[in-house]
Amino acid sequence: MKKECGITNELLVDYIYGEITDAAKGAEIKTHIKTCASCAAEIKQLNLVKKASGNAGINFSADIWGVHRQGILRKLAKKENAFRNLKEAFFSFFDVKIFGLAAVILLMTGAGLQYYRVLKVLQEQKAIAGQMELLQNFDIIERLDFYEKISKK
Amino acid sequence: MTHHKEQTGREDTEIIADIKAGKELAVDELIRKYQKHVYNTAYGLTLDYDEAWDVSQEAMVKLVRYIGSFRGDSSFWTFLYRVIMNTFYDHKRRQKVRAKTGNFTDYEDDDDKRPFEIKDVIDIEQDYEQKVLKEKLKGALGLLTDTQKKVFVLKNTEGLKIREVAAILGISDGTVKSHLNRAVDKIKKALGGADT
Repeated sequence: MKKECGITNELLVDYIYGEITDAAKGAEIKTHIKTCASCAAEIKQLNLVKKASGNAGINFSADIWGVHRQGILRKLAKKENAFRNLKEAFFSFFDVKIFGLAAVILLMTGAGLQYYRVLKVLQEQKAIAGQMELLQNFDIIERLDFYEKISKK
Repeated sequence: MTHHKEQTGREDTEIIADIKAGKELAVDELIRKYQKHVYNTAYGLTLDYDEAWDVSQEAMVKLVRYIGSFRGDSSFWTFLYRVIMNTFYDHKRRQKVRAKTGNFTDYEDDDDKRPFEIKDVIDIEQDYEQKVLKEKLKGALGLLTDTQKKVFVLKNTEGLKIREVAAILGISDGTVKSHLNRAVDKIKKALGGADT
């Protein structure tokens, strides 16, 4: 927001936080604030914000920091244990013997299932072939009947 | 970053190298060195003693666990602030989920009960006027978006430069400035009554 004097609030924020690298510009603003009531009021407000949110400077006694630290170490150990257990579980699952056995069981189950499926398909094909043969026989009988009728006429 | 000069003891790089080498004492050393600063930064973000306690502990846990990924490309402080900001973000997200689901049982801090109330053991190095302002600021910070809050705390509380804040949050200088101006404007209006 630009005020009548031409100085923006953003520039004053930069000034208060020491973000103006141009020394001449900084000096110019410093002088300006002394003569501009609007900017002086803005700077006062910004200083208030700065003061309110400055480092809280919270401190505890050494034993309380000790409790804080112990909590960190406890949480750290908990996370490390969880990770270690997960890792161990992973590697124990992929233990060579268990893995080998699991692979054989999986292979045999797969092969069994495949054999059953092939057997089923063959049986279905055999049934269809039988039905087809029957239909062909019916067809022949019908033709014979037809020729017999013609010959009688 | 100017405010780091107050830190004493061994160099960060030495401590980090020891942690990477598996020396457990170095972990304790790193925590001792930064826990106060991390707590105060967390308090700046949460303005709540208990939340700051949890966020700072969680941030320190992450700091130690992910220290292996710190290659020294950026300063350690940039890395540290990134961890704190991410932890704060996770904390807020968890709070939102808990508020929605009403599930208060799966919070991992539940098993870390303190034998005291933080407000009873705290020692605040600030004057009465600042305490009053701080109380007013609590309400004002609630008006900010998470990014505005992060920018405001890093800039105002930690005293970082715009470019440093931008590097930590992974956004441009211009975006940082924009967020900062909006945040300052909101807080200034909220604190209006304090200016007497």
